[in-house]
Amino acid sequence: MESSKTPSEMSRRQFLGTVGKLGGGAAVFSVMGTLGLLSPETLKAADYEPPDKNELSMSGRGGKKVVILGAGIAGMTAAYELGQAGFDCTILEARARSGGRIWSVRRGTTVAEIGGAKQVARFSDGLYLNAGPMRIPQFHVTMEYIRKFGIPIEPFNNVNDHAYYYNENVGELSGKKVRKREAKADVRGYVSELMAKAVNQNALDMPLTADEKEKLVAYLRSEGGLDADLFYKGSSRGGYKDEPGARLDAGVIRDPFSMKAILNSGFGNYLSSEYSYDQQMMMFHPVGGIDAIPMAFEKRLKGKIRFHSEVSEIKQSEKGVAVTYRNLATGEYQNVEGDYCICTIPLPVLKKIKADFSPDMKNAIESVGYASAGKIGLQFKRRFWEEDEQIYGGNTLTNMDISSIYYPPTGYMQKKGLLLGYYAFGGNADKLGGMTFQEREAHALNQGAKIHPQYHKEFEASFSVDWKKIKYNEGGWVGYSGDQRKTVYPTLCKPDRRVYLAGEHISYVTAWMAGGIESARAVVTDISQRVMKE
Amino acid sequence: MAINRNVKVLIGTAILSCFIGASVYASTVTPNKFPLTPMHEPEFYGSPSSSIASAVALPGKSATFSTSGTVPPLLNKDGATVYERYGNTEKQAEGIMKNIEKQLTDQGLSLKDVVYLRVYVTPDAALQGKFDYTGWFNAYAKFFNTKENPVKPARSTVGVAGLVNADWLIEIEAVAAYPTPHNQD
Repeated sequence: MESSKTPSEMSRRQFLGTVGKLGGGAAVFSVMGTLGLLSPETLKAADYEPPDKNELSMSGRGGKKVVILGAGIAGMTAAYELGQAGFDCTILEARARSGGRIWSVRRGTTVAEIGGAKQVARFSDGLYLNAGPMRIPQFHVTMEYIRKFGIPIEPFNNVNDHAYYYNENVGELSGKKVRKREAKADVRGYVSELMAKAVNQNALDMPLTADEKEKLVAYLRSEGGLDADLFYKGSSRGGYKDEPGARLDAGVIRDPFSMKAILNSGFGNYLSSEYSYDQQMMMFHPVGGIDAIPMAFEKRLKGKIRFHSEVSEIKQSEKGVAVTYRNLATGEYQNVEGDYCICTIPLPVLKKIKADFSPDMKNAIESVGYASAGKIGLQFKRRFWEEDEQIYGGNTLTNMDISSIYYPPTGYMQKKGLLLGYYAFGGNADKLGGMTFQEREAHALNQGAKIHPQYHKEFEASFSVDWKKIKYNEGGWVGYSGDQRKTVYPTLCKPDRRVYLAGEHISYVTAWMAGGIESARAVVTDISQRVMKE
Repeated sequence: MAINRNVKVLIGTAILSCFIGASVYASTVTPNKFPLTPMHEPEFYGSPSSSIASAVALPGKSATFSTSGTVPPLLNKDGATVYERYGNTEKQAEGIMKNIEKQLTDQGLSLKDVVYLRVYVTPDAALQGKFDYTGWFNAYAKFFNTKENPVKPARSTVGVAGLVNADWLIEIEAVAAYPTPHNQD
């Protein structure tokens, strides 16, 4: 079956396979990078040329009406860009606020999940939970609007080796909180030791010259912190059991965990999360809450957003699109018409709205599933993670239901603090989402307290969100399964007569604000080009 | 026997202390937890299946509007019976609720802003002197916990010996809270 492969390719794969078994994907990734097997990703947002306002107006094509469904980032980007080009946009938004999933929960924020009791956030003033997106990779298109609108940002501290890994039922290191640097030093140390020895002893049949092997060993020695005999015996990278200090206090380097213990701990599998493409530092977030982004758009779209407007029907004719919506404040049904419509409503919600889409489009909308995701914000009286444990931002990862704890990358040294008590996906999110908000709070506190015993004593208030149960969203982000990108996705990307879909679900940057922006700009280009051809 | 009794006492004490322990644990485990203070709007508590709230809490800045005990409107002063003059308990209650609704409307409020109802019912001679609570509940169900008005206020329903007018089978007091606009869901 692999007979077409040359022997050298086989041995390279075997080599990487061996590395993978020992050190997990992280090690493979790192070795592949060293061997130059990864092509650099493009660091540039997709090219976008705004429509030419003069061209449109000079040819008598200005002022076309566009009805936009949803005042999330996709809808507002479309309205902003089309507005710049002289289009007449109206956004219908069911909620009383803009932003959609871009949502900062603050004191007084209220939400009743579908089938759940109402929750009220009682956080102290100035503290917030970014319930949806919370960080921005520095190369995302989102940064363009942040610059354009002058939104103050600060680093989002996504990585912190002083935070912990904590796993249960993993052998010797079960139930032990381990600073990330300890696990990292040991995983890299042992894996490098194994590889260096294998290379040195010619245990692997590799298409490398003696000189190259020497270079590889040199790299492994440096990567793993190995001694001259290629043994990993711990290093200061993993920290000290006795910190160095003044005068004669040289400190005592910690003893490494045994290779068996560290392999069974599963900590190695966490390493790559920090260097997946969109999680690498630097990352940023707006000062004071992610909702600064939708607020900045909203400010530039004065009078164009109709809030409390819940779409009930989308109807098309040869000449235009008519959208019926219910004014939630008055209960009355109203109509708005446009030459085109941009629909950014998440698919689980859209599929329940009456619309005369083509059968293909209907089928596509109905077939796509969304990811489960949930968060809880926990406010504490005291920033014990900073005061007692010197953790300033970053996250702790665990195999408990809570999956992760994110320490606030803002407001360092302040008295109180609000940390992300869990950011759970998939089955964990469903399990937590199935609980009442009181049960979620208790569960997050009980599991978190295994890592931070200060939890119960310092706890003040919580607010949790299960995105599958949030009205008007009903999911964290799109999750195309199997070959849906080939089957139904192309249909979603094409306009249905005069209706264009936009949102993170119409992009390959799913779950990110950038996906919403990119998809909106693609629709803006399409509509303006279509208008020029009319 | 003595040993047996001691064992029983021990078990009893153990069980008792479990309960005490549990309740003490619940209150001391998070000693700094904030109370569930309402923020922007009244908070209603209770079972989703119940047609009324078991409790209601108002935000500190809430202004409230309280009606007097409101009595049924006269339908036909020449009617021969209580029912002809004022209607049965259900009919009387509907008349009162419409009156209260009018008072609320005059304030720029609506039945959606009602947080508490106090209801006094007298025995109905036409029903062998029984209190027609069902009549009141039927009337209530036309105004609250409906699709148009999902609000379920807290409520007290009290059977009393008599009201000022012997024809009156029911009298209702309503408390409403002035809403504070906010942009939360």
